[in-house]
Amino acid sequence: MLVSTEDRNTAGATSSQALDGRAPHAPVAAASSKVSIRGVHRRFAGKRGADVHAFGPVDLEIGNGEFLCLIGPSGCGKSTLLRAIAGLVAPSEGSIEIAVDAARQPIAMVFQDYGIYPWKTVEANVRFGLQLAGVSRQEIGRRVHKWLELLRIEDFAKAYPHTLSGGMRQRVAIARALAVEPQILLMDEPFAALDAQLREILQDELLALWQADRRTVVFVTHSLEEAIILGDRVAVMSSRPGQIVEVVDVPFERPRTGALRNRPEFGQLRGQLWQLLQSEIEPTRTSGQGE
Amino acid sequence: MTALRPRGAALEGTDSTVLVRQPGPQELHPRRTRGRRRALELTLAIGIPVALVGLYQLATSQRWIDPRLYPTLDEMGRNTRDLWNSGQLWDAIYISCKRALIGFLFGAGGGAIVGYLMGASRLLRAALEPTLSMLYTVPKLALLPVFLTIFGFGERAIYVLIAVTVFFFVWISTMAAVMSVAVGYREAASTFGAGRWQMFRHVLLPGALPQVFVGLRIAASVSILVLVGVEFVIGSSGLGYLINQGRNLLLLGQAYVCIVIVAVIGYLFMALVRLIGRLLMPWAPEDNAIGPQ
Amino acid sequence: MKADRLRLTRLGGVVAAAIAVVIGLAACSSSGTGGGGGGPSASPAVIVPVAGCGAAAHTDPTDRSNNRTIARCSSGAPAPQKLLQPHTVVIAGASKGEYSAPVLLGMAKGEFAKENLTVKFVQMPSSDATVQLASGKVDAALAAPYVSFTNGVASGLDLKLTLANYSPQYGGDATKPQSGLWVRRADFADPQKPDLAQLKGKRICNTLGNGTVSVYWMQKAVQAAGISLKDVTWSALQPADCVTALQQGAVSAAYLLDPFWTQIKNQTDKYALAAVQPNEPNGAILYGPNLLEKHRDVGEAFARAYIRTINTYLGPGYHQNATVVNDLAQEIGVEPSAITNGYELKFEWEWRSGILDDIQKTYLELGTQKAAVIPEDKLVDRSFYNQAVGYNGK
Repeated sequence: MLVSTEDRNTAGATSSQALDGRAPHAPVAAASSKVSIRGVHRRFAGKRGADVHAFGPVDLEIGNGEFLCLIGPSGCGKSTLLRAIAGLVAPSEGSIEIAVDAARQPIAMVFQDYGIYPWKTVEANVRFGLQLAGVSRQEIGRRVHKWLELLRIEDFAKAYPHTLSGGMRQRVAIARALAVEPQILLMDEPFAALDAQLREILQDELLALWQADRRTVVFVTHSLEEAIILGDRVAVMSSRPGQIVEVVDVPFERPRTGALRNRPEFGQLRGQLWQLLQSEIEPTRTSGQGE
Repeated sequence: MTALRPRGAALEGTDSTVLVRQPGPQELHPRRTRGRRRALELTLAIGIPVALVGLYQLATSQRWIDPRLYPTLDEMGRNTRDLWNSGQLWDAIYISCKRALIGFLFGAGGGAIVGYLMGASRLLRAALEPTLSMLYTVPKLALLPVFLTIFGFGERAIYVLIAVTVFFFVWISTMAAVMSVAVGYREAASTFGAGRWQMFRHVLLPGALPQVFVGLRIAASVSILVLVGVEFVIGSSGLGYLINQGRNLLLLGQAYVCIVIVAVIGYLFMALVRLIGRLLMPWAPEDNAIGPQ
Repeated sequence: MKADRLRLTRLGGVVAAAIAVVIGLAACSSSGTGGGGGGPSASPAVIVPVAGCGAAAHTDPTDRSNNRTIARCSSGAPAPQKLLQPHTVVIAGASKGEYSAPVLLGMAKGEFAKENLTVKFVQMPSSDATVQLASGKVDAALAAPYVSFTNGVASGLDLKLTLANYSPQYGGDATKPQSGLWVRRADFADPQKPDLAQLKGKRICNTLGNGTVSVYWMQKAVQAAGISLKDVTWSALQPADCVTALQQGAVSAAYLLDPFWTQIKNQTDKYALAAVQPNEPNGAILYGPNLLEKHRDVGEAFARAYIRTINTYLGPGYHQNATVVNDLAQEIGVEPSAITNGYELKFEWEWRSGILDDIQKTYLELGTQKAAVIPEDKLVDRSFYNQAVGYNGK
């Protein structure tokens, strides 16, 4: 059951783009749209001189306080899209508008690898973003302590990352990002390098953390289960050049817990998403099902 | 630990042998095995140089090689004692070390600064790299007469020559180190809004430091090499001078003894740089790439 | 695994045992000092008179006066005596200069070939030459009795000085600008009359440091002024750099060789010639064990050709002989004018008596020679040139 409706929280319309390249239904930009992605393309010079069209056109509205998951086949450009939101790359065409409160830290990002610095202790890593922002020493101390506790790594405050396991390191990365209390949190497959059990544990923890303060999150992942358990909506991207195929509502109410995984509706939604995704991965096998 | 125990008559296509995995001595007596292995490694590490020295002593005392051209160990010992008593040896060690250290500090300091700047700025790199690369390959010892003319015949010319040689080594390895700081680290800092100075201080400087120190260790031994070469040419003091004089005066014992001393000093210098590196970088893993433990 | 472990332990044991054996042997064996070699070489049995070389072919070796006569034979004498077998003689020299003429010109003119000798000239620093000579890797050296030579003989190396090289045209005459010890007038209290005593504590530049032969006459000069060469600091630099150092004031005095002194010869207001080589040879041919003992006949043949070259091409006035000058210029790789612009060298083959005592005394004072003064007969073997010119000691 695909539901493309108005989003609960915003007046912004979702956009769906059929694969045959029909012009998108121009969204009505709502005042409370946190991130507005309009007609964005990203191209870069390829190895043999020809341009590589990473993704585009992409239109997407992300609401304030929304947890949006982005899934798609490898190489579809979802990570690049995330980096464009972060400001690490600029769009080749189109624009991304991010409504922020200037007084607060706008964005923080959690990477899959190479996030935290091996030459800083855990505490120094978490402190990093706050130092750059010029926050007062006292406030830094308070926040660092708070987030170390919340991520349950306060015992490792003085340790260096190379003594920690992968899971612990990602906790540090998340703590570092959340310590600056960003308005938008971008996460690029943060749990991809972890084993399945640890992944679930961290998903549950992230869920709890997020449900406490509900900041806007854009979460890129390969895992359908992860997208469903965490997200309010799941945007499915096509293969390269990536475009938004469908934005699917996740109808489960909040607050959620990990137990959601066992419910039959979870499996059904997962199956639907898989069908969408499968047609992107093996386009020759689509036979007109769905959109 | 495997043992093959064939069992019964061999039938075609059946598993007639049994592979056995059992504890071996390493599992049964881990401490003893480890201890033995370490003892063996230590014996070899010390024993081989000692054996070579003993072999040399044997060769000279048994006249396999001409002891007039290859002095025996006691003669070298005598030479050392004479040199020490006359004060020449200490003076030479002191002045050679001083030259190497001062030249190294200036050269390494300059090389690190330029390396960091060029590593961080693409524009600077494009601007300066061709010129510096060309200068790198000019043998500095060949430039010595030019330096002597510019800086005079005193210590300054020697410091400059050593500093210039060290500069190029440190510059290249530092620049490479900075450029190889993973782009992911830089991106993370960017997303937190790091400016140029903050990027340098929090990411590039510490991130490149391990590899910078590898370059510094190489530069330390290079500075000793250049020093001895310089002291050959400007012969008035230092260990290089003593070596050359030993050659000229046919006091070969003196020459060999001073060569050994130079080698020891080079080793100690590298070890010192390594130690400083370890103190500055508590996060870096043990690396035995070059130099002593 | 167990087998591997056993093997490793056994290997370790064997290695440790081997190390112990080697060390034990080394410790037990006595280290003998150098010995052997170096007595006076066997003299030839019979000395026959040589045509073209009469009484003038021998002079009293103790005569070191400025106006002494130099030994000479007529051109083409002594005549070649071809060796039965062809031989190659490898001779080491620090450089190719006018002073190498008796060897290089002799090679070019075929004088050595007439003796059935092929001569190979190899360039190497003089300190290396001594070692190569003693180990038999080269047969002779065109060098000088450096302290490496005396130290070497003292330690038992088999080396002898057998032929002299040249005396300077104006030997002993410091009023004539030439190669020698030049000083900076400005560094002395009275620039018009530099007092060598004021070199005390100052720097002298030369190329070979304080182990070179010229120290003995430099020492005489400064001793006449009241100090010793021990009181100066030595700077060893390349010849060209010594000139620069003197000009820049980095050193107060410099021993300048040909042709480097010509760069300052016209600035007698700034520089003065304080001391020069006396009228006696300082350079010489050194023989190693190959020519002294193993192939004495080859050593004699070499000496003959060397002397004949001097008598035939390098007598007084050889700078006016265009053929000689051109050939020599070609051999050493310079323009003929570079040769004729300088003074003629007085080539001679006889070594003066007493020089080596003076030299060694100075070495001992400077601390470069370790053994006591070695008597001349252990350092010099005059039998080669005596036999070549037919002088039988009477």
